[in-house]
Amino acid sequence: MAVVKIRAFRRFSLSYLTKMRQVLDLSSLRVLRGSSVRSTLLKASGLVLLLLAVAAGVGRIAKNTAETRFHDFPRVTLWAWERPEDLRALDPKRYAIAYLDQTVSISDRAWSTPRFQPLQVASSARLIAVIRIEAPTQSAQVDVPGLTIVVADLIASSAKKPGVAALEVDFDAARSQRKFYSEVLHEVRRLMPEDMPLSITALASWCGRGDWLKDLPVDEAVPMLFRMGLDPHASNRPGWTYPIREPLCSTSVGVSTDETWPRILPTQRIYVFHPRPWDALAVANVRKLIGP
Amino acid sequence: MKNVATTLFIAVLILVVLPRWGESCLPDFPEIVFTRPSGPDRPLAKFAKGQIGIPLPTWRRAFLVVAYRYLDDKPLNQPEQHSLLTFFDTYGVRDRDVPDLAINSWLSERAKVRGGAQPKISLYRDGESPYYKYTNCLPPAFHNAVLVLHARAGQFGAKSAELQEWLRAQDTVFENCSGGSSVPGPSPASANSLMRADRAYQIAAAHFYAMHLTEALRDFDGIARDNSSPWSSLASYMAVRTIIRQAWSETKAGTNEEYNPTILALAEPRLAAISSNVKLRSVRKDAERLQSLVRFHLHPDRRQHELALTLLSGMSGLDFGQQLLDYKLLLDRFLDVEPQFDDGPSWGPVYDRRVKEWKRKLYPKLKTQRSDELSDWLVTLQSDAEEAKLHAVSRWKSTGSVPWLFVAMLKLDGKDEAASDVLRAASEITEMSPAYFAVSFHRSRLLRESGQTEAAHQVIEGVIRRTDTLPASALNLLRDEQMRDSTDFATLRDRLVREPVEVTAADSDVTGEDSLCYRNPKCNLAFYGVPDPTPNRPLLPQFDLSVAETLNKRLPVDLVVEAASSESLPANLRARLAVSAWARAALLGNPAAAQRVAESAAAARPEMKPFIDGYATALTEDERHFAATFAILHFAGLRPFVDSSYPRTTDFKKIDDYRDNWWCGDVGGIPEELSFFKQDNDNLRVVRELDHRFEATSPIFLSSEQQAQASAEWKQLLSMGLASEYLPRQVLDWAGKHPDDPRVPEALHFAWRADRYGCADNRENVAESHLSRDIFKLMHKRYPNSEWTKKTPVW
Repeated sequence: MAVVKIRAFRRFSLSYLTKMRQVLDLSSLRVLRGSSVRSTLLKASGLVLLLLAVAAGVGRIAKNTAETRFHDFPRVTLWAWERPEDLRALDPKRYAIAYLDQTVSISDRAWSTPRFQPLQVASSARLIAVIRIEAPTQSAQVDVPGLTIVVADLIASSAKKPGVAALEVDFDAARSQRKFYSEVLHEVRRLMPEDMPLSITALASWCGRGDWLKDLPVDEAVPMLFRMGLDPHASNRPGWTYPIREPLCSTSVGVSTDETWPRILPTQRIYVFHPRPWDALAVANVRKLIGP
Repeated sequence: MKNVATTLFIAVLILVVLPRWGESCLPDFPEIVFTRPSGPDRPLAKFAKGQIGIPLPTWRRAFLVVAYRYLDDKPLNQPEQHSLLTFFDTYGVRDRDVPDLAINSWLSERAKVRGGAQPKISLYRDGESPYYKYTNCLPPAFHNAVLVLHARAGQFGAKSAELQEWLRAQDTVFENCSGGSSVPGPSPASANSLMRADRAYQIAAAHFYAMHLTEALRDFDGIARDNSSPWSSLASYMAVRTIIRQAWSETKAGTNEEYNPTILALAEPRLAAISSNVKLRSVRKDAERLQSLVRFHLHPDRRQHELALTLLSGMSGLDFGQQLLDYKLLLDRFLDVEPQFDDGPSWGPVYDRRVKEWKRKLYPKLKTQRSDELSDWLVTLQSDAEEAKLHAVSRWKSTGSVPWLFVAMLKLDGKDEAASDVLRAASEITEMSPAYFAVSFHRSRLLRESGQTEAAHQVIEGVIRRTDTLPASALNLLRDEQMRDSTDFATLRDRLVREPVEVTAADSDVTGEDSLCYRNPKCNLAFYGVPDPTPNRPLLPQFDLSVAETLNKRLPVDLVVEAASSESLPANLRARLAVSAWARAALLGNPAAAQRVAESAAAARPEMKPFIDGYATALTEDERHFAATFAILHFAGLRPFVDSSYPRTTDFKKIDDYRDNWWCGDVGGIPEELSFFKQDNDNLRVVRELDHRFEATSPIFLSSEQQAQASAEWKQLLSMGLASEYLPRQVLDWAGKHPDDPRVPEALHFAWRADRYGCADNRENVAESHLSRDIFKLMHKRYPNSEWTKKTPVW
């Protein structure tokens, strides 16, 4: 639909420019007044402005991966969680690896626990370091002065690991923690290399309605369309849909190998979770679902 | 044209440029929980003390172990209770502890004797790749260092050269925690014997943390042999730690082993020697913990059985939590394995059925794993294989134990041959027994299922009086059983209410502010009755799944209407039932029933009154049918059934953004599922499957005529299918026969709305409905000047 609008705009603009030349010819003003040209011009201007507004809206509705820092990443990323993983055989052109690098826990202070399970990757692998934040609302005191900087420092330290090409923060922030989370992400963005992408995982509900994500300094918010806590029969039809309205959520999707996949657009990056260590069969099954 | 363009332009600007306002409760889809499926109610401390309620096979294994103890009348002692709460919370294993307090404590004490910059110390050291670490220096190392610091300061003085030298060496030791390879030099020959002994130990420790394990073992063994060293005992223990560390670091590539078994086995005789040596009693407890670790990895099957015995013995003390965790992990190895099938995806109903079948077939193969009492009990409880039922009965008969009685009762139904035997045994369980509620629940169920309704009634009435010691989840199960025991309608009518345990996103860890309704007035109104509830405000009473099934499928509408006027229903449920009963009666073509509930429905929803009156004054069946359709179309929340786990939270008249409008293809037959996801289901298939399940039974007092009537009414409602298709078709039909009815344009408009926003059918190969198109065309052709046509500008 955006493409159709842009083409219409281009065709239209030529005739508009022609009319504008007439408008700029001051000696013709008296001719224009009350003339059909003036009427057409007004209508043309209105339509141009309308198209611009709609295009702006369309632009707000859908982001494009090509516009983000992830533009040269493989389309598919495998999540390597806290279990022994040997991913040396993965083709780095086809798969990136998002591995759990550390867990930042918050109470009245913050501390980091590293990944404990071995991870082996090819030297050319595109790595996304995932930092999980755990801050139970019963005990996390996110308003402690200076905590934002401490947490951001911990997160940003993952960017220094060899081969890490992006960071992803995984935090199921409660409503009362969203302001804190936003501040942390802004600080992390400041500490990271400028060209390094920053991603966050997102609860599906964050992507549906409400606008708290829109000002976050992230390149993508990956809606986690699995383990949604609903009856598994509820979404057992391949290609099921979920209302995604936040533009940051529109360029990627998170799925699991043991749950039905929702509809995935060809332009979306795909993050895949596997409940066991990855093996050749699991990767092959992913490939079958995604296609060549 | 100019005005239109301007208006359109401004409208678009507003829609796409200006900030959106407001936030919806959805699509968080909060769920009401009536019985927690994974474990006991909060707080866990009550459960630890013996309030086990009614254990379910779906509980986490650690909780079932505790339940076994209480069923067997072997309560947890105080240290065990304390240990349980240290390791577990109501959602399972607790999160990890804060790791760096020990380091901070060391640095704080160190700063008192040496100023200047503090060293940076971490517990963790890089693994073979930079992407993971391992815990190298444990908190006790720092606690111990603090103790030695104080002791040497006391002996030599805080400013003494001896202490400063000791401290320098200790700093070198701790440098290795996060990396590097630093070893203190040997003590000068002139140093006193204590300092020389300290230095020897520090050198061994440095080798240990720097992963020079051969040197570390040599040095620790040397110190262990030196009876004059104050570190002799600890060195014996550290030598074993070194072997374990070696086993961990020399695993075979390409295997999943966590420890090299050949090396790990070298630790066993050393640990046995520590246990039997009186001189080493100071490290015996720590050695026992290492022994647990070694046995866990070297002899998992044997260890599983050892732990099972220990957990039942009551002798675990403060080790209970760790032992329970180890036991659970050992069971998980074979109970939580899910097969990967090469010939299909790892999700979906077909995969789920295959896994269920696979697990059923697994049960008889687990003989070795079940060869201790606790494991046998647990695995049998959690298996739905037929053999598990037979085995449970057999074990109960041979042991006479209450835990096996409980499992046998859980698996039997009232028509099984063994039911009468277990019932006899169950009747001997007194109120004083922690098993009383669990056994009584199943006793009542079995009595009811075997036709002994009066006896079932007596049992349940005796139990349900003791609400002060009943967890809410158990109370709801008992209330459900009580409802099923109802011998007449009046009694059943008084038993329809349930107090929710919590509202959450199914199986979520969150409550309170994260219960997904926080600060959302519409959600709070639906669940708490006020837009801004105070903390700890109780949830509104609701209809649970069994009640919804009973009301929606098992009662004839005459009785549903009567239930709607029951004073024993709280206001929120009475209002909900009244309007749905009216809609049900009207759709079923039962004006008498509709009339009986009309006043209550109008009182609950005054905005419905004109429509209710319109229905009441209709003269023919066709007119009434149209009047009912007309009424229902105006209220997107009006449906001929009651909700349960997911009450509708959008305003009654308004369209819900996620299509929870009117009804989906199941017509209320699947109360535990969200409307949003019903759009992707074969709802009729699911309804047929659910009809056979345990929960869906007819009230026992219904006559066969009433049962037949309820069944026929349910079939009739189900045949309506999607409201978004059914309602518009009725309107189009009426419009065709009565084009001059002044209500028709309005009805067509609302029918158009229903088609657009009602629950849909998104399955593949299902033809798209063109009803809104047909309505649009009809309106613009026949009623072009109607205000309702103007409100229907597109299709």
